[in-house]
Amino acid sequence: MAVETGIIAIGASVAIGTAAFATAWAQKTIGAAAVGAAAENEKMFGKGLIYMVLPETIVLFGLVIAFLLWTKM
Amino acid sequence: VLERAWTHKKRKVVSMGLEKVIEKIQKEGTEKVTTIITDAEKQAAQILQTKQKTIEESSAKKKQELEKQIESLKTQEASGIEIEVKKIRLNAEKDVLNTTYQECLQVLSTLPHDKIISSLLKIVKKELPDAAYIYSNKRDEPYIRSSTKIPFGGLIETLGGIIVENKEKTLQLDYRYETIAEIIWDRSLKEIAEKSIPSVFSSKRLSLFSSGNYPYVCARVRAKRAFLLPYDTYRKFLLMDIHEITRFLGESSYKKEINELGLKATEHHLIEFALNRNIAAVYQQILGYCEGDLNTMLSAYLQREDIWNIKAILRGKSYNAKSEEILKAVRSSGKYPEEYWQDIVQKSKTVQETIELLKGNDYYETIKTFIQDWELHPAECENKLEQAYYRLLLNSVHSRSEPNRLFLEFIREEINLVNIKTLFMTKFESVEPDSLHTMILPGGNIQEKTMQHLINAPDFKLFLEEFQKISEYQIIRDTIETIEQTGSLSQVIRTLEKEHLTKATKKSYLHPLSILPILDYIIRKRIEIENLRIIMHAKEKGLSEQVIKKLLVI
Repeated sequence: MAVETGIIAIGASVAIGTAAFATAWAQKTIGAAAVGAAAENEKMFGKGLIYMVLPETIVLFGLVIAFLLWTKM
Repeated sequence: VLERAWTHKKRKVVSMGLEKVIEKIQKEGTEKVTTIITDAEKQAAQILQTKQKTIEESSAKKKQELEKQIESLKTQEASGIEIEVKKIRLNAEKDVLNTTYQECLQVLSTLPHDKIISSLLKIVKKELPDAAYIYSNKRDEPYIRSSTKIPFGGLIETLGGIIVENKEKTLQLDYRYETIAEIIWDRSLKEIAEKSIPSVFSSKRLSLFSSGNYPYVCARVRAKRAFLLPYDTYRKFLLMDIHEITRFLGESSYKKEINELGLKATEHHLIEFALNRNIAAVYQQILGYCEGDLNTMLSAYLQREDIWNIKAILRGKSYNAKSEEILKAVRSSGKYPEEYWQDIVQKSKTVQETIELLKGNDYYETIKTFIQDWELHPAECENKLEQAYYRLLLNSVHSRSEPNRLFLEFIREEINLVNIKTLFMTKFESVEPDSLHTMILPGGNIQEKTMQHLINAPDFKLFLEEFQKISEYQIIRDTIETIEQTGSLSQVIRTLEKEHLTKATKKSYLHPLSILPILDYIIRKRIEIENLRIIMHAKEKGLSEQVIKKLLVI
């Protein structure tokens, strides 16, 4: 039982960890691009902000999976 | 008595009234004097304060200016030392590379020649089946005579290898060891350098991925692209006169430069200066926010502006043009700042002096090799300079990572475009094939054999026939008829340029986070500047709208 719980915990941590890493990478790229575009044209700031928030969904999926795994513990 | 007393009293009253009046007047006078003195003091204090403030301000300003001057002197000195260090390092590298090259040639001369000659003969059979003459050195002559039916044409001085020619002697294949070594040397100079001088390139060898802030720069450049003049604007310009165009540009992205130069230059020069300054500012700004390998690649690419400057200065000096005239043509959008070029132009009087001042420049060594010929054959020397630029550019980029590979591909396509344009223009003007060899840039995608056929085509008609065999023909297929109709190549040249532009744009969409969107913008900006320059000059000369329209790349 203890081994199973441990494996589930590792699975949950991998799910949230990788998702968070992917989100961070995507947001870094989009953020840099958004700042670049806004530097040339201020009107781009709003659009850039919206694009920047989109990768948040990735980490949310990771969170959901981690939560589902946690309930199995 | 009464009367006397009355008169006395009356007198006393009168004198008392007068005293009071005098006293009053005196009092008022004193008050007024005091007020005037106070006001004057106040004013004096105020003036003093203002003057003090002005003195303080001007001294602060002077101090700032001096600090700036000191700073710029420091930077100049530092960059001078940096250039000197770079020069010493480059010379050392060059020595090592030359030694390696000589060693390579020595090794080549000790190889089993019979085997090499027989494999070269096999290649000749494939590449030039109608070979009519074969040349070699004395050592290889007996073996060649015994192993091929191609008649022996004569002896040549070489380490080894052969030269073959067709019957008309219009086509020549050079397979001498020196030529082969030179071609391989040119192609793989970078790799050889890495092996010979590991310390210089070791840091680069470690990086498997190309470094650079691609998302930031690409997004910024895309946003910048939206501010380029739309196609319709050029049509509007055709209907406007120079004053109207200047006014229009003064309200566009050229506003800053036109306002700055408005008082200094006349209208025709104003646009020329403003365009030069604008493109320099834009290129420098882009370079400023590029990092890592991206910055290295872009600055190598933008060195074409330095080549332009060297050519303009040398041309100007050989015709004894005034410094101001030369400076008008100088662009500061390359690697070296405006002050660097100003310094060279103002300090030198002759071509020789200019070259001495160019010491430390990346192209100094190249210029030194042909400088004796400059007075006699300036065009050939300019070609050599251009060839050196592309050779250095191709050698400065590794093809390991994807962005670098794309960049190399783009450069090779550009070389193709330049070579095709040169071929068309020279063949159209019936230039001798011998002099054409020096005009062709190395490193393009067109095969050596095909290029030789194109160069050696005896006339324009046969050249077109040869040209039909290569893929680039499809681009100009529809415009080829215009050459006969109009007697001019302009339509074909424009089509080739447009295709290069379209290709760059298409590829920039396929690889949105690579160097291609940046190059696409750089080309578009350059074309915009060139178009504006064409319009202004054509308007000045009074050319018709139709003619101007044909000259533009839209």
